[in-house]
Amino acid sequence: MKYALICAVVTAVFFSCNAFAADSETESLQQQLNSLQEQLKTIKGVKDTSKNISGENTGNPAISVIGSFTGHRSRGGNNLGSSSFLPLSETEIVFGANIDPHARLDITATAADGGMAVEEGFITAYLPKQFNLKAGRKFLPIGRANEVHPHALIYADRPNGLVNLFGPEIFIGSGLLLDRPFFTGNSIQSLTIGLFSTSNDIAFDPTGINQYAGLIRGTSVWDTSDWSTLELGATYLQGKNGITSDSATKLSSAHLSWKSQSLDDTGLSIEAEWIRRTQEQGANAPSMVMDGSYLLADVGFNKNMHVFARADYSKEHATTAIEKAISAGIVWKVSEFQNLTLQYKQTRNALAEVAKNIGVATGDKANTWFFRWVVAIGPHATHAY
Amino acid sequence: MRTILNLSFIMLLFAALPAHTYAQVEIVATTPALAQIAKAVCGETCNVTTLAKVGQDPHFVAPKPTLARHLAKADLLFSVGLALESGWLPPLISLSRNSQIRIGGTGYFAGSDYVDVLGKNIEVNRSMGDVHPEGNPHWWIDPAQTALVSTALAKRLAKLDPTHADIYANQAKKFVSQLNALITKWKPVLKQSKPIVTYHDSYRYFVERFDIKVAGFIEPKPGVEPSTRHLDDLISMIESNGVQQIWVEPYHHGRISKRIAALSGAKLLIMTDATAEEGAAGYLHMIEQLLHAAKGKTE
Repeated sequence: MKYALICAVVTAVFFSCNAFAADSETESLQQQLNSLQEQLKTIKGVKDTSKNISGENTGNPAISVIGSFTGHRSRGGNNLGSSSFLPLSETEIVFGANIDPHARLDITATAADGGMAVEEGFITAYLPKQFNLKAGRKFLPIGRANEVHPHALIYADRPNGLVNLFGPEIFIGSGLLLDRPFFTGNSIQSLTIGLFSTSNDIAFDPTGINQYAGLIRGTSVWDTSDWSTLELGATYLQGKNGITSDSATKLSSAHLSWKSQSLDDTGLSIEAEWIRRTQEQGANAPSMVMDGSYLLADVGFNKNMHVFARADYSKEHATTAIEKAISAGIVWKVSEFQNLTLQYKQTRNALAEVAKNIGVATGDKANTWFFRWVVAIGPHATHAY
Repeated sequence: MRTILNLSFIMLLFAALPAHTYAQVEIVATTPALAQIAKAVCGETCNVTTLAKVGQDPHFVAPKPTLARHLAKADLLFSVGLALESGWLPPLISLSRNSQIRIGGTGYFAGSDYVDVLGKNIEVNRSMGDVHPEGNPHWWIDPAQTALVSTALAKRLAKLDPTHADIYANQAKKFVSQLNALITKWKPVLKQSKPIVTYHDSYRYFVERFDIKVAGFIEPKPGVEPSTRHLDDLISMIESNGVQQIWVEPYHHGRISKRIAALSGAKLLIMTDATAEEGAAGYLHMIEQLLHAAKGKTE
């Protein structure tokens, strides 16, 4: 009996100890939970009143690398032509970030044919009254295609009209561009004025010496429906061309673009551009006038496929020579960061610059195939419009 | 006499016009759901405009320059954040020339800054698809995350427009209680749901909130089109796991998802992440539509 009582007391003490321990453990856990809840409230309080934590990399610029591999095969008369088998035709390394609340820096360095150069590099200063001032080296805003980086164009080549006017390279200037948008109703108008120097040896000084020029440009974009827009624009550009002491080159351009994109992943865009170049040759010589233009239609379907057709037209007024070209192609956007383009182009009566570019004789007819593979690594690409 | 009459008529006309004792706060929301949340919080004190349209994929809104006109006059830009709009919003902000709504500005408000972010990927590269390294951005279809954002939005609006701070706080409080009631009502209902398959990882916040299991995705990786082999594997998986529903956003309701549904026998549901109705009622109705569909009923 005594033994049983002792056992009962020991058991009771044991269980009461356990119960006490359990109680104290529960209490401790409850205290920890309360403490965590308080911390959570504090954190939420900070979050609710804090400034934005999301943002672009101001201190560390966003860096993208874009590789464009473009192969082509061109054949004209007398078996003349040129070809390349998917070379790395261009690598662009793009850096961009806000410097401070007042300005931003964008630099595009290009590596091609074993050399490296800064293709574009400019500061954008955010000025009062909705003005932006861009200072530095930049693709000049004339027409539509010249300002766009080649890898972002739907086609793999450069329109023949632009090649005849400016050569195979993009028309670039270094200087100042001041622009401002005006918002009226359901439209936006933009006005740009610029002062720059250019070493383009086709349109300006044939010796490649820098010449100063100015430009003025106006564009308007209207919503033609919830899903479509119409853009009209015009540019005038004038500068000394160095051929004689007072000779100048004048460029006039007009462009239009109508784009429609619907919810069912189909889209249609029509784009046209015309540029006239008047290159004075001096007081006693007639000016050389050249027109370059194109008309492009692009149909997007099935979310990631495009087919396009383009007609190019160039005219050399002095000789009345007219060059025409037609292109057609298909684009597969493998993902947002990779696309493949297959394009065919037939050129008739090639003018000098185009003939030189594709390796055929002037006045010749040429058939060219292009295959382009564009890849991009880095931050999410900005979608072009 | 005629002059007096004319002047009186003009004065009456002016008197008949609604008196504007304050300027409305202009809010531009990137998506329709965010516009509903903004309207729920600010009521009639704000004018809310949306950039993306109902049915449009918020990843791929065409950056029409004309959209910048809304941003030009915005006092507050309300975005999803976590890089969802990074492909189209930055050029529009730049074009608007509105320094207030630039990232970091007093008028820039990313909802993702106030949510408990899911799906953060510290080690990420593009072989994983078009992933958002900062986290899954589709927070707005989780009422609990929306509640957090609404509270924060009310605080931000109070800073921008202190005269109506009480209205924002009260409206947000009311909206949050409606959202919480919705969760309380529906969470037990959906707890025993069968696993589902979705096209993209758009419903992560929603399914985690309501304890719905996602067995797989039609996309093998975010933003990557499925291969035939992936689809074969997916159909087998749907059959073996007893998946009864395939959820797709309206912009993914295409040939691939229809084919998988036809071959697997699972029901294809268009689970919209945006509706056209306005304000709190519109948002709550959108969530209820999702909940009813998830339960197997449609309204």
